[in-house]
Amino acid sequence: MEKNVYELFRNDSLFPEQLRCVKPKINKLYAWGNVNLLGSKSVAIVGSRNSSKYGDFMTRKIIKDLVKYNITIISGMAIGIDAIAHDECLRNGGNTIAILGSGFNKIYPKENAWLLYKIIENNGLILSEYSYNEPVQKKNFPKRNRIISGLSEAVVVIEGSYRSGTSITARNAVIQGKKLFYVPNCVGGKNSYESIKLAKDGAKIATCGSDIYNEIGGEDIDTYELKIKEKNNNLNKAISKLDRESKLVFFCIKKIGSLSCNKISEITKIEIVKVNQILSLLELSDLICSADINNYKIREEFCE
Amino acid sequence: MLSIIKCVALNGIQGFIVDVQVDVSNGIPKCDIVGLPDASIRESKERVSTAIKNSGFEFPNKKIIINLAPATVRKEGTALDLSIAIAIISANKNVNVNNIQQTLFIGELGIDGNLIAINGILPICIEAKRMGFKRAIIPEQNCREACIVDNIEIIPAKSLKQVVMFLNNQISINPVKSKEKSYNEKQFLFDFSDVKGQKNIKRALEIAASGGHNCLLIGSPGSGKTMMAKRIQTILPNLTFDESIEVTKIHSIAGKLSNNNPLVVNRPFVSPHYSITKIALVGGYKEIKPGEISIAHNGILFLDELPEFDRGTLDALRGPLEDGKIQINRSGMNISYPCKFMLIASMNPCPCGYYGSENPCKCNENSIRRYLNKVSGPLLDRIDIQVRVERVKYHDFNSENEEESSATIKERVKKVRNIQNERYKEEGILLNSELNSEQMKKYCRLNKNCEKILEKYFDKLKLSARAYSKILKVARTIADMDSSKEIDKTHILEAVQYRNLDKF
Repeated sequence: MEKNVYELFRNDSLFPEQLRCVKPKINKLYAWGNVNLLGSKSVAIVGSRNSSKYGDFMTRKIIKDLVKYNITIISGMAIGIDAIAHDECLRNGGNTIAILGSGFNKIYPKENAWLLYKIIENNGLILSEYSYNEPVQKKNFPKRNRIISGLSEAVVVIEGSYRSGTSITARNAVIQGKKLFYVPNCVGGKNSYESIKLAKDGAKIATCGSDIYNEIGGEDIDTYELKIKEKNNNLNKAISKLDRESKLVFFCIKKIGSLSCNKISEITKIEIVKVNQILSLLELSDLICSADINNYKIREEFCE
Repeated sequence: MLSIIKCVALNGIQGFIVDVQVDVSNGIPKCDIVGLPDASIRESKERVSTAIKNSGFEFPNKKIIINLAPATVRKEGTALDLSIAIAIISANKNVNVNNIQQTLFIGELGIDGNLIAINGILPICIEAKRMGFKRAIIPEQNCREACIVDNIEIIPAKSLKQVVMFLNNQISINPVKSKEKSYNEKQFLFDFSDVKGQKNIKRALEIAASGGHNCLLIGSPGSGKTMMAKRIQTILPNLTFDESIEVTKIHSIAGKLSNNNPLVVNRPFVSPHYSITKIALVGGYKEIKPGEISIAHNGILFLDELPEFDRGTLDALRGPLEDGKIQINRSGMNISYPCKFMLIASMNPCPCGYYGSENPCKCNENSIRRYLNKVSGPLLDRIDIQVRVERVKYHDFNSENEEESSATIKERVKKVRNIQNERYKEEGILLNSELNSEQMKKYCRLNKNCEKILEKYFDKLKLSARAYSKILKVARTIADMDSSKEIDKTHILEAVQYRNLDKF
């Protein structure tokens, strides 16, 4: 086994205080990596394994904010929202804790093994209740969800279907008295059930990182808001610098939403060659970004 | 009694001289063929002996040894039948030996003594001419194809008996005139003006055709990917005569020529189904036939539904795409076929096909990734242009708007290709897509302004180093279309728009 692997018993001083009262009782934890993260302010991100594009986007957005506020991201390293949460956190240089439902030598799913090593490399922490060679078992995954919710100060539910692992974590969070957030989703969607239910039950809504940060309390966030404003100003300046045709394209996209170059050319009656050039320019100056293959939308800072 | 007849056999599209040596001597009657014949040649002794008998000649009831020299090279096919038969007859002194000099005998024999057409007659005749043969006696059905070659007398024959009578000056056969190079191009039944809207794709395909760039069309079902891919051949310039001969040679070996058009004048368009095997695609089998990629030489290889192809099959394309030729090694043979083709591929963006379109997509991120991963990165890296095809709106395909015809686009493409040919005269290449890194440094130099833009773009989208060279090549083509000597800022800005999949 690699170095930096610890076995934490209930009476160890390192054993996280929050987990002592979690039921069923946790007797022993295996930790790998930076154990100092255990006491830090942390938020758990849970969501569907079959995430949608919207879910992925919201996850990345919220985590980008949370990392700026120096909050540790906790998740379960499954595919879907979990993996995206860890990945985005590491990309932004944040701290992350992954809690496994199997032993360190039996990573599940195997595709995410690279993520595990990346977490270790980036001074993150891997936790598991199970010894190194404990095989992957279906029953263990719902169980580890109580650690995810127990360790964190707040739980954010991004997408979850009816009776999914997400709902188990949410229930645990309620039992353990944690703050519970949901990311709004449309009614009737395949991954909307959990967030709609939580909304009905009185969970708090979260559309960006500061919604969560405001609730769990912390340092002043005004400076951050100021920064965004400043950025907005810069962007407005950038728009005013554009030439007539570029402005036309920009406002065309802004008005209609996501658009392809063909449609822009159709609407604005600008030659396709020119449209392609303008799109590249706008993309370079951070005014638009690609929505999916060959569709463009304006950056969300401009949505308001 | 010994008799030797020179003949030509093929190794790929290269020919080599085979000495058919026949010795008839006293001994226990038997007939043996030595000199690494394959099964079809080994069987030829049965065909030849019966054909000789049925043509009214005597098959010597003696010990006959037939050697095909050089004996170390494998020979295949039935084209040597006639040579062997003539050699046996001449060993028997039934034929005027003086008439055999510098004459090539090619053809398969039926047991009734009739000559049967063979594959690959064109490359054989070309090679024979090169090796100094003055005339060739070939099956009558093959003569349309063979008469493309000039400076060699082509004599069509129906049967073995006719050949022998001709050699003995008992009858005369008129040699086929090498016809006027009939260059009537096949008219296409479709035209680019059938495609309504889709300006972006038309522009991308024009760039692809101009610079010979490989192209990937991504789009939902029914968006017209296949329709547009098929029309690319209508905007490519005609084959030159030399190119045409080269293509015809390969088609001849593969047995793809019809009697009506012996010379391939249109650029080949090959679209294999995705169930194709690796061997069928790159070439091989026991007889080392050219594969689909060689058939597409100087033309288009269209792979519809790219992710459905076997991954190994697709990866076999990597080398040929780079080198423009394929080296096939089978059972001690080593054959190289040319395969300089333009790769056009099409695929859906996700398993359900509707990602990014107006219809809601049912797929999640993982299944999309898995789907796209079926096509290996190195292969995608060799595709310069990757564009998204949108579905056409109702009012678009019902509109009366006059769209550009293929002929107009073809003219422009021709002009741009001429610019490139002129520029690369000394480099031994023809088109921008063939530039290697050394040549790119020389011909795709960027000014400070362009470099800055490209650098910014790369930082932003985290593109790979390979994408860099692709963008440069495409920008070079766009500049050529603009008749501009230098690559300009606008050219770079447009070129980056044709890397849709990199941002995905």
